[in-house]
Amino acid sequence: MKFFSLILSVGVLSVIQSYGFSVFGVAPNLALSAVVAASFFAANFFEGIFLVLLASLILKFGSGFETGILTFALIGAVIAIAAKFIPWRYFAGNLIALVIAVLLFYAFLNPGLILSLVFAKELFLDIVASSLIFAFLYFLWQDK
Amino acid sequence: MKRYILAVSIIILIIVIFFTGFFFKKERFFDENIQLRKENENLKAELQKYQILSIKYQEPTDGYLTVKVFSTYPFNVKSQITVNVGEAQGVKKLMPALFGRNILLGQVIEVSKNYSSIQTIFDPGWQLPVRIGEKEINGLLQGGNEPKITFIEKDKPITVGDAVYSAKQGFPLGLKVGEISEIKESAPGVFKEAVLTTPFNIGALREVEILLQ
Repeated sequence: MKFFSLILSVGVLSVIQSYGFSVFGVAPNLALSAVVAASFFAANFFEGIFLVLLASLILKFGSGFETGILTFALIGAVIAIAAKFIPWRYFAGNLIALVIAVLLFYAFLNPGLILSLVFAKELFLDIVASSLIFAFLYFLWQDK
Repeated sequence: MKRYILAVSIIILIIVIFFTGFFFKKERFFDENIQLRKENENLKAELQKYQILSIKYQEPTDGYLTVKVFSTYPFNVKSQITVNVGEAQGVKKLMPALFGRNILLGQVIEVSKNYSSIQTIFDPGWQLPVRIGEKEINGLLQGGNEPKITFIEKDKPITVGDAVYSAKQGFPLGLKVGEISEIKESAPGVFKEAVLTTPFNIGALREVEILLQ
């Protein structure tokens, strides 16, 4: 049931992202935010990697090989594995993991954008989204 | 048991995502506002082009291909978009991509069988000779997250709101690129710069036109 709720969270947010959701012209990386938050609740990294690949499948935009999707999957997989070893309290760990994931994502795909306002806005939205998902999952499963 | 099922699912997903052509087709709800804005901006561009008396707009003789835009990933990168047509539909490298029929958006840079990539004017590597306003002042459009017009002679009068047109050989002369939104007189040397605003939001694009030359 817990794993199903993680699949649902990641799936729904990936679908929303794939349909071009944006806030004032800036599109948050909802899939990455959901994957990072869900990684902290996955029972093992197999579940985490499954969630990353599920999001990748939903986000895949074309029939060819996409470096963006490969980057997303690799970063998500690294976070899914690292989440099991992050020593900080979960909420802070989620925020730090998310910032690292978004930074890595842009560093691989378009490093020139890291110093731009667009990046700052997206990072802010990603932090908000990931915190909300984390809080939702936390309250759903805190005593289970 | 659960772990085995997960491992098998992971392998299947990896194969499907990276080694097959499978993907979910994402037909989005077409925003009526975007369509109206597109029509409005195109009419405006058409009116402006007739105000430039000496530029006789070259009406393309070949057809336009209206194509669907895939969502770019990551979404906030505006330098490139992918569209759902390719060689099979007659698209070739270097063909101009338009917003409506009068506004230049970019240029095809990569063509596969059924899809193509378009470099947009937001690509930092994009450069385009342009003319500004009714006096047809020369400038060079430098792409980027905030496109700007460089190499405008300091003594040439330009004003905020002036339309900017493509003057590149190989493109129809007089395609609108955008409007001047800010003038930077303080640029060093004998030239000044201007910031360009485009009449479209690249993230909201659902359809573009490719000019089949």
